[in-house]
Amino acid sequence: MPDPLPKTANSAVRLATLAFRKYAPELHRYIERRVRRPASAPDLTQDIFERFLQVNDVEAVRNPQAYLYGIASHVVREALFREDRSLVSYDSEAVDTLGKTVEHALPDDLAERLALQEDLARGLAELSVMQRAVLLLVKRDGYSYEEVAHRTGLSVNTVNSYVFEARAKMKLALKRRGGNHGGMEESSP
Amino acid sequence: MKLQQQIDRLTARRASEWHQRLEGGGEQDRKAFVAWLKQSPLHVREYLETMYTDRVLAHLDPTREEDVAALLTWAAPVVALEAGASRDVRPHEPMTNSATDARPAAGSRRRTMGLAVAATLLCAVAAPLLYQQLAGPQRFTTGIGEQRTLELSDASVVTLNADTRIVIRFARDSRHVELLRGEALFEVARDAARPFRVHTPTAVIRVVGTRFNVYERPEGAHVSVLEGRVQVMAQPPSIQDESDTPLAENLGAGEQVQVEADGTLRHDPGADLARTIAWRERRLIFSDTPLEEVVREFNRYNRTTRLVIEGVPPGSHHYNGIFEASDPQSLAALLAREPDLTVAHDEGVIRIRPR
Repeated sequence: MPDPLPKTANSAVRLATLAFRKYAPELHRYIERRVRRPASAPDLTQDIFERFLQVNDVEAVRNPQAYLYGIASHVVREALFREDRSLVSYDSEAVDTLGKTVEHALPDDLAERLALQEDLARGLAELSVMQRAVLLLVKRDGYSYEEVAHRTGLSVNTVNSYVFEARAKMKLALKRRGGNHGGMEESSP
Repeated sequence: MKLQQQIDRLTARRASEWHQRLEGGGEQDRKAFVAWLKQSPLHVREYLETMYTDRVLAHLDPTREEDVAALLTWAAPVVALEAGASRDVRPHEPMTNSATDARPAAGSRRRTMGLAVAATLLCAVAAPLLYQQLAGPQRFTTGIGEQRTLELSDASVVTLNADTRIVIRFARDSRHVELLRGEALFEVARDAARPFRVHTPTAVIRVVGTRFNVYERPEGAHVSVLEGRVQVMAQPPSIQDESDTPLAENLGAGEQVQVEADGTLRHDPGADLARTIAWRERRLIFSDTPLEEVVREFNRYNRTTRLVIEGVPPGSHHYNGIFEASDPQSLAALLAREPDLTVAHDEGVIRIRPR
């Protein structure tokens, strides 16, 4: 079977996937820091953006989200190495070990984890009743949109829009805490 | 609300919507998503943060303190309203309960009071934001080729297509938008106590909370419903209160109706909603569309290159296809291959004439 992807895109995707597998925990920790304490995290967005643009045929990539995530993981990892050059020297074994340490997105420090839970609870309280119910059914209880629609009497489309609106609000709620803690770049003029 | 906050909210919403659309999305969605990412580093950042948020949400309420059943019972009347079961809901008298009192206790049943409480809650949340728009009407226009997204004080979002003019009049008990010209996509925030009305020169559209597109054209208004239900009627020539007109029509998701200049409502059973809102991605989709309409569409998006038809009889040529709205040259190239047409390029004008 011929591969429908052009060669360049294909190999770029493979690299990005690899990067994502290796560096995903770093990426999560980085974004976590960026979202909740923006002042303490460098903004690597421009770098990620430029690398994303560099691949000619990004439209042909089957899974652009994963691809972007892969690039971002790589950029973040590189930046961390630059930051900690005096402490860590690059060797492949160290990278592999780091990749295995954290499996999920939650921060590993207990205080941070509690703070995050608090932020999530507060964000949840800011949602409308239906957004709250639908988000809990989907994210906490693991129901599909169809199941939620059946249970609530809403259309699948409406469930869908409740989830994306709720997610957007939760993101802003997480970020607001960061902004309150003196993140210069987040404050508006 | 500060402008920056409004932009943040809109971008967060878009990113979150993309995240969802891509789950079951096809080729077109994927391409449109990549195009969106390529627009700005901010979109990239927003999307990464959205993916992170989505992962974190898996850890929501780990001790299961939230009682979903109670929430659903409490919200039941709102759901019924959305489902179109009751469309004659009158705005409720303001309640004295404070927002905190109104929170449902686990397992409580407040079915009858639910709607009023929900409306009060909505008002309580919305109140601080309202003042900006209680002051007077706000006018917004877009020029040729320009699109603009506005978030209104009630959290409704209106996206204006090119060459569009709207006036927004919000009051404590009503939300009025006049679409004087052009096309707009409305995502209306639910507020049963303040019905949302869109007036165009030919039509009146009344909703509670939903998503729909209105395109006011010379031959009448096209109303397409993407989600929820709306009520459409012809614009009465003199009567102020549209509730007196007998021509009201209820539209559900996926339906499209054309309100003609003489007040007739005509259903379009073959409505293609994806096509209707393709303008948000600056794509033009034509199917068996007359040349003069194709040209009109392109000219809404392009100020520097105008297409002009000279002497080609209306209705003589029809086209199918998907075009980039910003690329009238692609249409010119297609037309140049027609045996009975010529295409002449002048300074900023492409003239289409019979051969």
